[in-house]
Amino acid sequence: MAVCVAVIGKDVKRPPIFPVQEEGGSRHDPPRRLAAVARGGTNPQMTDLQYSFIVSSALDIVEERVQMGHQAFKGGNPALAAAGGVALSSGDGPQVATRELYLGALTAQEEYKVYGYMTNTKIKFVIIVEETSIPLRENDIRMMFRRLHGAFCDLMSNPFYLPGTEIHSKRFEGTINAILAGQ
Amino acid sequence: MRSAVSVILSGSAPDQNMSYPDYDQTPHDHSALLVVVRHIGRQLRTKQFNRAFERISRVNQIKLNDSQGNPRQIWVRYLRGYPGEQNDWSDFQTHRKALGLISVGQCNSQDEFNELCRIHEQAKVGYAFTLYDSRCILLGLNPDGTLYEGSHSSDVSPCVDGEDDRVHHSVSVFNNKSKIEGSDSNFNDPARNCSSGIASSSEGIGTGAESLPSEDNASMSSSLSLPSAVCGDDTRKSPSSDSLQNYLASGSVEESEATDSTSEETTSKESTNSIGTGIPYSSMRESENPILGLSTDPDSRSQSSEGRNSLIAPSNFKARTLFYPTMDQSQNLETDILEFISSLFWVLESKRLDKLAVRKADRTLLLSSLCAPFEKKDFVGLDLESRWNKRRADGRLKKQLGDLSLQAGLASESITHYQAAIEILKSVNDWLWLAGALEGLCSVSVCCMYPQLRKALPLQRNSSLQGADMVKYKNLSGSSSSSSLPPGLEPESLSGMRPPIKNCLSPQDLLDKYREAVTHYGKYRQAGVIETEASIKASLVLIEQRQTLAAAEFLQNAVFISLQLTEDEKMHRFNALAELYTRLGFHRKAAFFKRVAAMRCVSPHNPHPNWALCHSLLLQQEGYKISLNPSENSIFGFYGWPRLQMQVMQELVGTAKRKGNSALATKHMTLLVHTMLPHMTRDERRDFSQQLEILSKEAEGLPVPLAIENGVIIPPVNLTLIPYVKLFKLIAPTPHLKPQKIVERKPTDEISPFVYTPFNRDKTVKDITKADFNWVEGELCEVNVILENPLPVELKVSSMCLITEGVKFHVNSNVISVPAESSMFPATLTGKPLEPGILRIIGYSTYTLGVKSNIRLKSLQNMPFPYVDIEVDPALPAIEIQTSKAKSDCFSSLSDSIVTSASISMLMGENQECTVTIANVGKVPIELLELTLDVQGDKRAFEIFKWSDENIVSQLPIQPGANASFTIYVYGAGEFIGQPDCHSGDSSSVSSLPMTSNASDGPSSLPSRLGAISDRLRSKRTESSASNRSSVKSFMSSNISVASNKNPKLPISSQTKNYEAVLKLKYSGGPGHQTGHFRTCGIALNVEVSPAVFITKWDTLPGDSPSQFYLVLDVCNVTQHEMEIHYAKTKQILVEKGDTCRIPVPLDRCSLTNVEKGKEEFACCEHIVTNVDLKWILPESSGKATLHGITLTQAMVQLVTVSPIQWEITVNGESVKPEEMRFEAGEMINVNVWLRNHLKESLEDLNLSLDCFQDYQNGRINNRLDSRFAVIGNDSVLIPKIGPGSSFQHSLSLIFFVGGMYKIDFKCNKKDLEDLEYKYNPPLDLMIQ
Repeated sequence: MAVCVAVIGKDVKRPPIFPVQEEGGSRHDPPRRLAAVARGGTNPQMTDLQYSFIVSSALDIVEERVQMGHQAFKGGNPALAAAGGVALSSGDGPQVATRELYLGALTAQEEYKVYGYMTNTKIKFVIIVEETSIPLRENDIRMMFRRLHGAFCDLMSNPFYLPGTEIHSKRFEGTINAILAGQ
Repeated sequence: MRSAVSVILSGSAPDQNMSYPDYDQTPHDHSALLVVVRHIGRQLRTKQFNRAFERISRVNQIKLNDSQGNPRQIWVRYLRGYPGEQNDWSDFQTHRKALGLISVGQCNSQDEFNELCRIHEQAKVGYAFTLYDSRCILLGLNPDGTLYEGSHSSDVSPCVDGEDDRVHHSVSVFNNKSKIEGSDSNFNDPARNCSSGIASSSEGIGTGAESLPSEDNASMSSSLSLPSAVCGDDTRKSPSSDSLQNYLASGSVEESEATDSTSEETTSKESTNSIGTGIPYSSMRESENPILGLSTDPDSRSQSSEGRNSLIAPSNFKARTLFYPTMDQSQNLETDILEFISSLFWVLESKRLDKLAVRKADRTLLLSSLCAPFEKKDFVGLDLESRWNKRRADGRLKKQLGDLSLQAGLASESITHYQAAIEILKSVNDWLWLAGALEGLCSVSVCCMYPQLRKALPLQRNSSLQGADMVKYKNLSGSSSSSSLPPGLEPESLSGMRPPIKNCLSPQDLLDKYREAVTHYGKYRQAGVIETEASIKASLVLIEQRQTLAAAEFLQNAVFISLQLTEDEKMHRFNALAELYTRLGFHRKAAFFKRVAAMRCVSPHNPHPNWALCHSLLLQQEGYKISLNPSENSIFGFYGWPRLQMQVMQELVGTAKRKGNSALATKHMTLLVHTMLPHMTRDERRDFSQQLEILSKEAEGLPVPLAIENGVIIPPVNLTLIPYVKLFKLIAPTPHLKPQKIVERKPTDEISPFVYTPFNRDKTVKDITKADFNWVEGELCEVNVILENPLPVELKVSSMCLITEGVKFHVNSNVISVPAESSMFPATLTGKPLEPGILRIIGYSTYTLGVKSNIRLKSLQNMPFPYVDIEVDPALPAIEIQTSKAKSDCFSSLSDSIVTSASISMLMGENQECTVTIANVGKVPIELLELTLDVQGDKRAFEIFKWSDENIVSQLPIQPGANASFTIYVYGAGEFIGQPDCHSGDSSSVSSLPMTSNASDGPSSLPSRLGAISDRLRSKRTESSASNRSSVKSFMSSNISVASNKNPKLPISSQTKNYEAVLKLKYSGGPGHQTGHFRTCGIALNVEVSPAVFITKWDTLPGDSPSQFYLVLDVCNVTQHEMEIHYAKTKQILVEKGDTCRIPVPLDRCSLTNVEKGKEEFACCEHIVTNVDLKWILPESSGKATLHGITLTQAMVQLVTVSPIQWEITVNGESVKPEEMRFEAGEMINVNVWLRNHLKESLEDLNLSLDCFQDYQNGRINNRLDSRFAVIGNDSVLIPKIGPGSSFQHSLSLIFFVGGMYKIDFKCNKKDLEDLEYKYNPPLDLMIQ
């Protein structure tokens, strides 16, 4: 049962001095958590804040996974790499296209598992799932992310939404509530 | 066997699980000998101990040659403390075995010595079953055991004799003890050992791989039998090998006893046997004890008795002691430690060889010793003889051999052993030991592949040593065969380790094997600690391989291993995890665990909350990007998640408070409020600011760095946002106090060769850091600030003042209260410079919410300048000015330095006085005072104001506090000539001047003149003669249109003229005067001049005598009062308000004798202006009117001037009177005319003529009198010349035929100049009857 959904914005503005830091993007797009977390979780002591801490700690893995993916790609296509500058730019296309958006389980706490998902535009979704007696299947998690991604795409289609700002959309919230409710 | 098992069960390890993992362990520690270093006694200071520990731990690697001469590299791991439970696992992993114990203490007396010995013994007990050897380092004693006294420090080197003795004794002790050692390890004599090794190989239990080490072993053990041949290089080592030799030799003697008894039993037996009074745990006696030797050996006794002061160890003390006077005089420490380590090595080596030599049949017997603590129970009732168990024992033995080989520096051998062990253990499903073997294999591989991973701690610490010591130690370490260099720097070790290693795991294999090992460990609940450690070690390796994700997996796994830990240990665990995550680069993860660790410190379950630790852990959360230095935040903008940061900061505040460090809490709270302000909601802002206020009541926030216990320095936090200074502006002194300096303008022409250039040569861009005005020493200076209060509560700034550099500056502090959420609150910061020079304003300080902040302008983001420089000028006087006149309500600002004003209202022609009082309110005397009048516009103002400079100068200098005064004389200047209602310069008034336009209008009498004026004026004139009042009215009405052009607003008051002038006072004095500074101030003088009288018209009339004439003036009283006008000596007239009066002013004619030609009119005007004294008197005032600006026509000029021709006319012999003469019609009238020339030159070509006419008195003149009279004689005569002073006479007769009134004009004009005409005035008036 999902207890927390967070959307973390992409980050392109960070100075390269901090290659590990990507969370600066969260400044203008703080992780979006919803009131439903309290309802979804069985532990009433878990607050938004604590979920925030978990989400924050999971971001390291997201970065690492993404980086690994890049390296694997580069290693896997020596021909492309050797082709030089022109090929490099063209090489980005298939890379992005083929990258698995679903990042899998990122980390786990005593009672929670954290799953990650990153869109091609580097928007990161993090879902915290409470470990209950009924284990969630990987497919369920994937489905959740897919719905989330769909909802996010709808949101981005809204011409009045400025990308990178905090999300205030009833529809989006509705989807998230549905995910949290396990519907 | 049973009994042995039961002993195991009863004896050891009540705590079968290791209590907590050792998070510092590395894979390399598998190859190291573990030595515990203890601090004993209270005399030794911790610092000293730390130094000792550092020096000891520098000896972490030794190289020696084994019995066959092969080089071995031995690593040592020193620990300050080691839990006994860990030791219990030493059979499972031999690197966990505490092999040596070094205790360090200081003693100054026998009692202390005894005490220390006791403590040392006690310390040994904890590691009783594993200890090979121990040393007790005692400071404060000379090497011979006597008490060291600080005075004789020359004898620093430890006594070599004693050392040798000790070595000797140690050998002998070894002889004594060796049997026990032997019994412990089921040891045999070399020959047997050798044979058994061969036998084991020949028996073929082991595989081929196994036979190789056995052969090595065999050869080695055979070589051990010839120790002197092999181990001869180093004398330091030879004793050890000797002792080992002895030990090996003697071991064989005790062989039979050893084979069937457990070590514990034997040792305890032995101890009780040898020393009856022994401490129960004196089983460690097996480690040789020279002191014991001393006590038992007569030789040593004698030696000790030689030194009187020698301290005598208690009889039951059996550890070897090393005496050093002080830490500085312990050059031999390293050597001794080396010796100690090598002794450990030899024991280890022997053990290894023992194990290697165990017969296959005996191996099962070993099973009991080859088990993890928790397994011991499982062996109860187990059939040890079963094949399965035999194989198991075999596998375990191989595994242990691997461990031992690794520790003994035989990496390749250990790999062989491990691999064999893995094979066997896999087949018997002994998962725990399989895991151990796998981990061991990994460790060997890691040691080979990543030798650089070893901690190179000791070398770094070297830098802390003094230079001289460094040299000493270097020499020492160079002389000894061992090296303390880190492995990475030693090519030999690299080359020595790497190539021979076969079957070393590849990096990928490492990951797999580790994973396998951890999985197998995971099957045993009790092996949680081992698993944790394995996970950590694996992750360390993976970090090195940069496989961060895999490393993270291992760490993640480690998190999940459930261990029974106390809160404190949990905290340690999370902290260790955080450290590892940091190394991994997972800063957020690390921060998460740091925070968890911190929370553990103070969790409600924790009986001893450690707030200080919690705080220091919270401080280390770099993952949340909290910077304690607020200025760092501003460099890169905001970072991290504000909500999390706020939470962590709140926790910091809370812990600091609980810790009792309220200053720290205040500091943290300040930081929280300061940095998180933009992210706070309104309520949070209020709450946090209130919290800060409460906290700061206990300890106010100071703008100084704060050092906390763990050495972290908390930088100061300045509340730059509360209140936020939006504008910071230096205020120039008010203009009248602004100091000025005469600046000599330098000729700049020469600088540029161009006449014109488009480039601005003046590149001096205005420096914003330099104020473009100066302040004055000793006077209050102001800086305006506009404050913003972001808090929803009223902000009380109890002190706000400037921070300056440079010249002395006395700062006034202000109390400001900024309303809630106000964004534009002005305030003023003041101060007083105390000396001249450059003053630099670098910031301001505030004290609000209990926090004192020093804020530099450069740290403010929106501040355009990092500081402001302002020049402070020397002190100058200041003045206050008062005038006797009322201040004017408003004055146009001609100058900005006006301090006061005087408004004077007066009538034209009036004189008034205005007294100006100057008070020196400054602190220096006024030495210079200059007055200038600044007028804009009407220059007439210069006429109005007069003063006496001499009077002013005479009053200087004006001392501080003194007054001076002077008078300004004000004269109401103005144009009297003109019309009421219109300006003096008005064209209409000029044109309205009578007769000025028409010179040709001949009649010079006033009535005749009237006939000559234009119709409009004539009508007025006639009216005026009838009624003055009405004429004024008509004047006013007729001229309104003209006046309204000038001043449409106030047609009447337009006649009132305002004159504005500024009287500028330039003054200086004191030090400022010497440097050329001065001040200026101004008095605005506002004079309103209303007209009093107007001379509307004027004319000239011939006077009573030819030398006089009358100036006839129409004087109009435009005041509201009746006016008395004095116009001649005795003549006066009263004029009603608004009335016009005609007054004749008798005047002497103007002599034109000295006047140039063409300037006659001007001279006449001057004459009139100076001679007419027209005074007007009102009830309250009086004045003088001038006729300045009067103009005269040619005719008037003639009247005014003394005529060049003097007429003398007689009628019938009688001189003419200006009255009517009566004659009969037809009567002949004889007229004689004399012309006398007054001039000094002769008049030539004059034409004298007579003109007769009738005046109808209505303005009409009849000149056509042809038939009415006849002239007898010439009516016109040409006079060629009249000489100066001479006269010309002409006579003629007239006969009138018709009665009537006739007038006769006599004219004399120059022949060629028609306009120059002299007339006889008045015309003859004849009445013909």
